[in-house]
Amino acid sequence: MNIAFIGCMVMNREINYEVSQSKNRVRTWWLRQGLHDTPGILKNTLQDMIDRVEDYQQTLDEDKQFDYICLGYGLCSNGILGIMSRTIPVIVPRCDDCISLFLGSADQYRSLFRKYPGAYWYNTGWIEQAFTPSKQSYERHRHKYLQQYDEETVTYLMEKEMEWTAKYNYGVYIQSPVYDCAENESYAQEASQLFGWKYQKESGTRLFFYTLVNGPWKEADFLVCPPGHKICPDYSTAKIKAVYVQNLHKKQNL
Amino acid sequence: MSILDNISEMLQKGKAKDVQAMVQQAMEEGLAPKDILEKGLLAGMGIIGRKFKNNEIFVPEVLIAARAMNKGVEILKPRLMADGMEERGTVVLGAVKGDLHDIGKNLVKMMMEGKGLKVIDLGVDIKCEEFIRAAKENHANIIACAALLTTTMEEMKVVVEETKKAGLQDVKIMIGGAPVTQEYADLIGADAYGKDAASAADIALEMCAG
Ligand code: B12
Repeated sequence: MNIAFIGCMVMNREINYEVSQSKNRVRTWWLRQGLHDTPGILKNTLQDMIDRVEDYQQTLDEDKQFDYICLGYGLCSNGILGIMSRTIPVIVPRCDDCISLFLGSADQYRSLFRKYPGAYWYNTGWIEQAFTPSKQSYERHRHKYLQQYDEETVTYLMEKEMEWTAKYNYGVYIQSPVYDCAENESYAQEASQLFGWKYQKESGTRLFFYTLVNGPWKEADFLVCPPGHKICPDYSTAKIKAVYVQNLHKKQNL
Repeated sequence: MSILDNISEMLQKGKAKDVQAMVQQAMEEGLAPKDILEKGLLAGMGIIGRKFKNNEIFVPEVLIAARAMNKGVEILKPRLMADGMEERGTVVLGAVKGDLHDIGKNLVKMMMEGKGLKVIDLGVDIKCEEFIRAAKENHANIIACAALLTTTMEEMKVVVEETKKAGLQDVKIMIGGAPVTQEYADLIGADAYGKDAASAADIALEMCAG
């Protein structure tokens, strides 16, 4: 089977590992981590990537054509809502955000969310690709703001930006099953100590990533969104559903 | 450009000192404090909220605009009080259980207060019982819940149900936050949805009046 994977760089180590081991032929397209901060841009970028994969499909020999597009996104900032492909089924994990993917299931995330109220989650992907709270990263922000704003404003911004850390209770590090990195673990540990959070370690699993790339995509964990259907919110633990789009020839106004 | 436009402009740029000075000047020129608040400060903050939604600006810009707004309000407040701004209703506001995001909620508070509503801000990670208790104690017209996570959004449904069970039929529930939609509000039976801070305040005002 041929798969076009479009995902967030936050999971590049995990997905690349699965891709290397998969019987499927998987081509990956990566989007930078952090698009979730700007939901509108995330949505447009994702739709644009899907459109490009569909165009590209036209140029491929039959045996190279994609059977599925798999998305490496959860309900991150609702960026996947309204997204659709006209010609290729789209596979989407049913989860709130990437933390579920790293932990192996949406249920595991929900149960740990209750076990550790007020938790900040760290893992390799976040530390390597994203902003994560730590001494180093706040120093970088401070430095950046100083080039734009006066000293007083910078102090205010840093205060505001860090205010939340006092309200959190846990720093939870999710250990990657494909990449054991002592350095990232101590990064999370040091940050937790700095902010006065209890440090906890949880093991991630390959399960979600493995299945995303290999199938089978069980209804409970994945949405198979048929061509010509768009991804819509479901507001239950199913999270998302596929809704048929009429007037397909008119470009969807997302 | 009128001084009120100037105030809005400077607020959007986050220039707290300029905002302060111009609010002062506007008062000396005899403008009504209510107009300075609504057509200057709140107008500017409304634009900030919209620009954030459209990805034109980011969180730091929102934060410094909010600071400028606060500075302006500080100067206006004594005059607004003296003019006897009538209380138009009471809102109990908080982020639901498990949710610790508060930047958007704080903007909502600012806009609601600007429109003359009394806001009891419970903070973040607020259990359903706390919303209900605060609503009873303060004879609130509205319970307003914020959620920024799809994991905590479900908690809003609990608030709607429990409030009804607690016999607070007259208390309206309003919800908001990035993942929340009108569709979701309808689904859980919330009375209102606010897509940004400015409309949250307008809708709240309407509900208190009606
Ligand atoms: C800043 C931010 C943070 C800051 C919060 C700082 C603070 N003091 O609040 C920090 C870094 C602490 C943080 C932490 C986390 N965050 Co965060 N965060 C954001 C971010 C980038 C912006 C939110 C924000 O402040 N926006 C600015 C304000 C102005 O906008 P707003 O909140 O939408 O509010 C407007 C409207 O919604 C409305 N409104 C708001 N509240 C209300 C209330 C009512 C009653 C009404 C009517 C209207 C209304 O009016 C406002 C003004 O117009 C969003 C992404 C995004 N762009 O939304 C992620 C986001 C919400 N976070 C996310 C996540 C995953 C987390 C963490 C779990 C991350 C982690 N690694 O641990 C933790 C969760 C902690 C917890 N339990 O709450 C996800 C949620 C995904 C999901 N599907 O649930 C998002 C969407 C990003 C992503 N990864 O996809 N976060």
